[in-house]
Amino acid sequence: MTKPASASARAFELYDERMPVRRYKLLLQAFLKRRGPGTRQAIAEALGNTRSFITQITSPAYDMAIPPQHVRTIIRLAALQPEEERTFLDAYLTAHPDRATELLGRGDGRAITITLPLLASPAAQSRLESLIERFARETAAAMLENEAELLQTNATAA
Amino acid sequence: MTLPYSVTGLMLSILAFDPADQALGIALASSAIAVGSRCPHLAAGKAVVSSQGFTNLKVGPLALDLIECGLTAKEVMGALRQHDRWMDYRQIAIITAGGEVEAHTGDRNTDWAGHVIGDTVACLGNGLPDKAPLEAMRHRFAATPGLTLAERLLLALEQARTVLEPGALLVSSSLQVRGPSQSARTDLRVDIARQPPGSGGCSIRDLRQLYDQYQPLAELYEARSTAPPSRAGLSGETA
Repeated sequence: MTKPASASARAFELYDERMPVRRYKLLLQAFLKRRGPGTRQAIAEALGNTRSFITQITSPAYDMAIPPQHVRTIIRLAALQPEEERTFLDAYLTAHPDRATELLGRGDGRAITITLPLLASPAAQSRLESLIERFARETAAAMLENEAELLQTNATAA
Repeated sequence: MTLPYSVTGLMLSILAFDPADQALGIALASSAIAVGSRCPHLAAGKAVVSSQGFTNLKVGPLALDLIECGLTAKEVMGALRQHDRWMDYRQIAIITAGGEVEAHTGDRNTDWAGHVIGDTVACLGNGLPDKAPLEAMRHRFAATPGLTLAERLLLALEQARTVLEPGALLVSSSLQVRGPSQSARTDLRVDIARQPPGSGGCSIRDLRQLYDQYQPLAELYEARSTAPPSRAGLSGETA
């Protein structure tokens, strides 16, 4: 049997080197099925991507990992229950332990609330919320990174 | 190494959940050696899985992992169906501690292969002449509600033996039962029958002998884990 290219869907070998990624995608896939049809489309619209891309990042038959910047949006749009969210995040961080700070924060964060307008289009609403969330997360991540670099520079200088 | 896939054998298993004491259990018998090392998978208080046929050694641990992550038995079986490319060759059953039962028998299993499902019980087999051994197991299990789960599973396996041909090849057997606590357990194996099947050997009979010897000691072994000074030392056994 010819081994298919990694970008194409296929039945995978259980527990090969990509299994940690497939494990959290298996869990997410099951949780998405519980939500019923339409969830993938909502995620695609919110992330501004095609359904094909969403299929690739949510199906364990594809090797593509879920980009960390999409994780919180997917959790929100998939309406994961608290236990489902905990299980999924545990599995995600097992596969990508370097993303823990980005996803969970440092434990000393501060929550702020902003009020957004209610748009007529649900898709546009989701898109707006996703963009705001993404901007906030990426800005915070960039500033955390700058802060870490500054601390390292100061430590070296000392 | 090229495996002799053309070699066929027979396989029987029965899995069950006992709502009365929340125990999960599985009993198996096979024409292959050491069936207990490959096919039964049990997580106390969670689920029991039989992965047999042309066994994928990774299915059992993955199924238990997904169950422990909160997926239902049906969702786990769905995931396995979608992603194990050789599911046509597999025979798999899952029973959760919530009483969910799911079973799969692929079309490529040898001879007669299939499963029967009852209330919190599943019987599977392949390499069989027909369905009769599975029905025999299910009926026997249903007829013994007052006994321990281990005894019921073993009796069911013995009943299946009575409807197989006298010369049926039964080389290895296994019996696992776990209550919801982590300590109480029955985990017995006959990896190879004491006599060759051609000389009248039968792994189910050997499993019965092993069980009958073990059962009176099970309570003592469990007590030793919490009170070794007062309970240890029976007949010099210290394990």
